[in-house]
Amino acid sequence: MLGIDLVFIPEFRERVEISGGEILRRAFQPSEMNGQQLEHLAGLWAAKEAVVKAAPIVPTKWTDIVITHDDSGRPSARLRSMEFAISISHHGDYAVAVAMRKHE
Amino acid sequence: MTNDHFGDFVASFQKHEERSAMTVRPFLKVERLRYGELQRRVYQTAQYLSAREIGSGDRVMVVANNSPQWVQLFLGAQLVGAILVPTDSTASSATTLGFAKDTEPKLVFRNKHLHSELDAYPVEDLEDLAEQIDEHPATPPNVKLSGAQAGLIVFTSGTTADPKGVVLTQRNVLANAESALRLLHVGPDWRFLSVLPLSHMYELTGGLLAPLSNGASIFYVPSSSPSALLRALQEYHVTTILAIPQLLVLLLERIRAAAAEEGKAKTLATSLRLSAALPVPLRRLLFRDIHSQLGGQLHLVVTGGAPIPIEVGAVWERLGVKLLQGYGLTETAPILTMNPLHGRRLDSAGIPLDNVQLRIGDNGEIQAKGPSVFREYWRNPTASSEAFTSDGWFKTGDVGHLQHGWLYIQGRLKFAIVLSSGLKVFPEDVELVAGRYSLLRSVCIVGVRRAGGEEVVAVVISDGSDREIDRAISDINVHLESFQHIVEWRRWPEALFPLTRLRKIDRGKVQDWANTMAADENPRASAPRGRGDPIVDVILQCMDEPRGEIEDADRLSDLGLDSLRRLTTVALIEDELGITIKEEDLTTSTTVARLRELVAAGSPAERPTRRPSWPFRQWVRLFGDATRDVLVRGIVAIWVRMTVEGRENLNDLDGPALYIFNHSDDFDGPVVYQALPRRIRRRLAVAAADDVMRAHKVLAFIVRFCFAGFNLRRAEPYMPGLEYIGTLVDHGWCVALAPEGRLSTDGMLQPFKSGIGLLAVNLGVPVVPVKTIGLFGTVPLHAKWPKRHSTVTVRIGEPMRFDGHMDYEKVTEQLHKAVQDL
Repeated sequence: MLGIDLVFIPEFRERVEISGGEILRRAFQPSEMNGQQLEHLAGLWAAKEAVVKAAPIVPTKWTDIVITHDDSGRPSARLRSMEFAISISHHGDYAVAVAMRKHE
Repeated sequence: MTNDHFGDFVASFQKHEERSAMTVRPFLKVERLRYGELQRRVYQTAQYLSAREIGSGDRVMVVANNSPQWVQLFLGAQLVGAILVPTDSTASSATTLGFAKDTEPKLVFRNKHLHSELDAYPVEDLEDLAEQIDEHPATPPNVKLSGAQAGLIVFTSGTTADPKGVVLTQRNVLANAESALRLLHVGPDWRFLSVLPLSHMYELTGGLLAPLSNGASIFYVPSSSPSALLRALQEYHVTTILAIPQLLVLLLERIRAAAAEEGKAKTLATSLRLSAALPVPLRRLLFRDIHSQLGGQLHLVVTGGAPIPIEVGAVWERLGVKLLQGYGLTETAPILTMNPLHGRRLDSAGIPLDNVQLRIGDNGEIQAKGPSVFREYWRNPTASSEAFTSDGWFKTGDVGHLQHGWLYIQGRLKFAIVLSSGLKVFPEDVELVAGRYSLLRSVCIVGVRRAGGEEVVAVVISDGSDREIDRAISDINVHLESFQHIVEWRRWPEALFPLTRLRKIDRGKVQDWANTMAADENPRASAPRGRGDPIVDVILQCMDEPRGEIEDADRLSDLGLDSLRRLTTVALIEDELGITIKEEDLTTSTTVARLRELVAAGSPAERPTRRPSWPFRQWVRLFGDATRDVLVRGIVAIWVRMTVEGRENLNDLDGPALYIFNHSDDFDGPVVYQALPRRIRRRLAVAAADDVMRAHKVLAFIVRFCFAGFNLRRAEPYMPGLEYIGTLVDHGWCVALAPEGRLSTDGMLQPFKSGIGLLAVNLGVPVVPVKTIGLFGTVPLHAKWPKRHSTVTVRIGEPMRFDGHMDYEKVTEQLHKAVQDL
């Protein structure tokens, strides 16, 4: 299954500010946020949305989806025992991400 | 101990070098800063600011939540002679921009990802301060300081016209903190929970500088939702809080709701009546259940910001909590009067601090003089000269009277309602009476202009019908002097009154509205936007373009609430209504009506899992360990023949660690306990299933007494339990737990709950895998007594360490494998 999501960064920023940063704490683990700029977090959010679309089950919490980067910086996502290949791109005000479930 | 400037103040930290100054828990791990370390970091911050060419008189603005970094920045700025401009982190972008334009800061610190409106200024994330200062020397900067040096510009809250920047000197602030300290006798063993924003002088002086002057410790919470505050009170065994009356009302509501839920509302009411005749220790004994919810140590609440309704204050006193009311203004840095610890009066604002002089002016206005009184407003000579009398007394703008040295406040001069007869009515007096009527959720009394004078008008928020409100108002009038009578009431069109930064009702705005309404032929036309429905208000904030009508049958997707906006909705509901709902309960097909149900069923009265602190006391451990050794070792010895392998792996372990074991049998807790060396057992706490502990009181006692056991939930919410483990580790305890979360039915290792991965990654302590082999079936599931003898091998693996950047799910799997492979 394949999933894709597009995030308009100014709107993402506005949501973060309205909630006083609270939605970041609900959406990401501290390890995912480490040293990330807001633009990158918008990309990670897009990736999580894409994973939801690609996953056969609906995650109960956003933090159930964990995004990690390997040594070369390539991101991947995990939802329980499922692994997803993801790809994130930014341009201007937009961040886009696609996710595809890996089969063992 | 008198400090004239902050150089001396920070140097005095040396006296308490090893004591804990501040504690914070950004995630699971408790981070503690001792006085010595705080002093070093303040020096490094000052050196860093110097390197950024911040010097005497330069402004540094901070728009951020309370945190140790905030404090470091404040003190560091003082040491280089800079002027800090503290601004509430929840302020609107227009407000922060206005303050920035007014003060022209050379550097702005803000919370990561927030307040992008300040991008045009040189900005830094306050969270990164620790990294920035790392390279700088921990020595005092070579800057000559004096008490007359301006240290702060604090903007007054907007209750009175435009905010004005109050310039406070280092001496103003320190004189006030030290005088307050002399009155309160803050001891080094006091524990303060910081609830109010540090951008307000009340918290800065009373909640930060007073405790720091005498070696007390301060705790910061990442969120100020009522549930987070209650949890912090419990976990940190807080002794003292500075609060505004609103918070005290809210906490009481929670206590009452919890009592009502258990069918004890009447008992509580009766006990409260009786306890008035009891001495404080007996009151605390009578209400020990309530006190244990508040952490068991809360002895003192200092309130300010607004007058506290006497009934509310009386209830706190009857619970056995000392309630001190004080009075002050930003311009006086801020405390002018305070109740002393002995001889408190609930109806008075207290006696003047020992370095404050008070007098009552001609119009009844309170006037003040003393070392903590400011000299001027920032770049506003007109307002500055208007603020003082010709003989140099500061005019507070409040009306009151002094009686044998005690100050009684009547209200703000500005909002006194001048009737056509020339008599004055103070809204505060009328509100104190109106506050007794629970039908009126909130009341704001204002003056509305009529020919010849003003009239007393009540603006109310209520769920009652017009008839019910009419009746309540006539009841209130019976209890008022005839000239104070409310002549008219209006329903406020929103769920909440507009609030100032200290969450006081913004009386000015309500008054303007009431006057426009009165002048307007068609009142509805000028009503502010909002539906008077808190849920609709939250949804409106989350929508792009507010629609005309929001119906109960509307689905969230119809309203354009995508996943990001739904998450914002959940966050706002917790923030504004104090109710926690699960984010997974909101989907695209959730209707507004369903959201309403979720909020109604939400958790205002949710009772946190009880984790008493007595099992961890030294003498309890002494007896508990002895009892366990005799009894449990005996019982284990009868049923289990035990060999232990791998004990040498523990030789290098010093300090806290997590011990994880497979859960194959109810007997494994005691077996693992016995298998560990005595020096570890002495500081070992064992996690036990919360549901089991709640259901079996005797078992719970034994587990707590013999094994230093504590409850750990196996269902949502998990976080409080994990945070509690963080607290135990912080206190130097090792923790043993079974990450499978439930007993194995076939003896095979089941998957681990990922909480263990989160703990391993975030706490930074070693995790030791332990496996029991051959125990399965000794006490089978649901059996009450051992069914067979077993020969058991306990294998202790090598300690594993993880760092904070690792993926906790992967770590969970690694730990699973480690136990599996033993």
